[in-house]
Amino acid sequence: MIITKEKPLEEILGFLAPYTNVLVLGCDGCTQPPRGLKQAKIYAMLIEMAAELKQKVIKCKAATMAMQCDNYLCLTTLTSQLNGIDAILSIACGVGVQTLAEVFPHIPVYPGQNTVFVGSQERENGKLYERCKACGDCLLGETGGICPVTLCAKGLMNGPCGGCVNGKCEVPFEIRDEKGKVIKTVERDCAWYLIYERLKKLGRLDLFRKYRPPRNRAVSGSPRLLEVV
Amino acid sequence: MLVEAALKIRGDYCSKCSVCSSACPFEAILADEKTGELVIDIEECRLCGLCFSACPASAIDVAYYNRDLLIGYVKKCMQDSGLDKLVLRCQSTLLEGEVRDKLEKHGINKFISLRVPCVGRIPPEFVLRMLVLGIRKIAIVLCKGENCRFEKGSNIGLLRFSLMKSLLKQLGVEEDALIIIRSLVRAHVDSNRCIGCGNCVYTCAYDAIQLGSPGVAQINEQVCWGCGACVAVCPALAISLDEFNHNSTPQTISHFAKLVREAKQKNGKPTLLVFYCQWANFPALSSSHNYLEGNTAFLEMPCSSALDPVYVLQAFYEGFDGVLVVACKKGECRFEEGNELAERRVATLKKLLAQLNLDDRLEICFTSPKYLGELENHIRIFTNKLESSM
Repeated sequence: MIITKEKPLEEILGFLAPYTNVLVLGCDGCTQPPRGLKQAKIYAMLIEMAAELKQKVIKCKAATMAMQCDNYLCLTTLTSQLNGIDAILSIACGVGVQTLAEVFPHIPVYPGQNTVFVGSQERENGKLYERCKACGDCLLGETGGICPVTLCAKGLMNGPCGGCVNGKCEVPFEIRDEKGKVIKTVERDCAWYLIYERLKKLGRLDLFRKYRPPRNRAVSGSPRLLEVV
Repeated sequence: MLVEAALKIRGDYCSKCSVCSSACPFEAILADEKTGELVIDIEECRLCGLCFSACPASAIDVAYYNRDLLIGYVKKCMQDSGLDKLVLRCQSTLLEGEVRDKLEKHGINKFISLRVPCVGRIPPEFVLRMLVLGIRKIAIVLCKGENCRFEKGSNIGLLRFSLMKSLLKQLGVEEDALIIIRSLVRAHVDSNRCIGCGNCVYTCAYDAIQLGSPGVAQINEQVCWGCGACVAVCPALAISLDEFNHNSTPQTISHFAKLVREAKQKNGKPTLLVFYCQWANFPALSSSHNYLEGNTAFLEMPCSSALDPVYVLQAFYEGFDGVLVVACKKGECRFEEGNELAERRVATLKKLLAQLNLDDRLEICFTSPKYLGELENHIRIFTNKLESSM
């Protein structure tokens, strides 16, 4: 799913300062943690209270929809809800924000979230891990279901490199604060070490020994377009 | 300040029969090896009241819901309403749906409602007292045995009232003067709202929820304990509990907010909303467990893990000066560590509220009704803190 992180309220208030009637729009799609109706209601109340503390009046309406990234759904479900709305605060991922902006060019749309990555959730420890870079040329079939493009700091196609010590990568996870400053580092496994161990377990070390040429970066150059019809 | 135990054995009445000790599910009453005197270990006690109702010598005093209070309450309700039917139920049961149908089948439409923490604490002879008072029909609504919040309370209650029923039969009292029903509050999913995120599946401590296809949560009602932890984590407001739902809760908060605002205008004191776990605070006998005391409004939750962030926000939004969450003491949760879940949730909420500088307006405390005045102390300290910061 797409992992997002709340923007600081201060920043959101900065966006919304010129407006009075704001629609806070959740998304019931793949955002994780879920940004549905409850989150929209919480944001709506937070924003109204924060505005009041600054002697401003912002009136928020909270709503949600199935998938903000679908322009047809946006058009059909939202059009009737936009009467008297000056601005939309989307708490979906960046795709949702852009789709809304495209569908409703006359209404300003602002992001309530920072979209961080495509990843998975580990509920027990409350951690979200990046898992896929959408490189467009999936090689998970050769690497035991572990992605070196995402998990190897260098994105090596043939690893491990000399930075792998006792199975750990020399580049740790970096936990950052809102301003992007590193506040903590967390040791992590070398992707290629993990791939080796997994392939060994599967009895497929032949895949590990195989040489992989540099990947085709032409398929991951942005912006991309797919034609499905 | 010292707090007083809510349960006491009166040595001068006690005949040392040990019935209380054998009835106690928590081994909190033990006989002194030398003297045979029965002693309560208040640390172990959960205040279910099973000892109180078991004692043949009326030697045990419980501060809440004692005989005189219960009888007095029913008497007053009879005078005020003119009703002569009584529904006596445990606070984790519900009265809707099937139960309501059963009651109506027995002609119990309008009734006096008596809701107590556990029906097991009601001595069976209470039924006789009620019949003497002029009550014509009594319905006892008990939890399902395996879900009893006090382990044995529901089953002991069932046994006692079944015996009482056969006694009444022998005395020639009408068959349906005493009826016994079992029910339990449960969580329900509104499948139209569910977004299939799986939060509830992970949170449920009883493995009662599955994500069916196509991605809609399904609750196995046979396994659900009705704690409400799933309600609080649902991002789509799709889950609710029978009596604690998304229709009534926001309305109650708005209603109380209006009342405390008026009270604050008069006395200038800070206003407080207390979300309390129904096992951490036993309010005085009244028809509603959501109540107001001066500037403080009390809102009942089935467990502190049901604390929904959206309602904490709503409380501040509606103008409450502070929010206090009341959870059971560590190790005393009636469910699976619901109080610790609540503690983590409060910590997360504080971070959110810090952006408005409201983080010190939210607090959590861990209390037990077995210590008299404990919650009042917490409320007083918190109110003073709020007052000095305003």
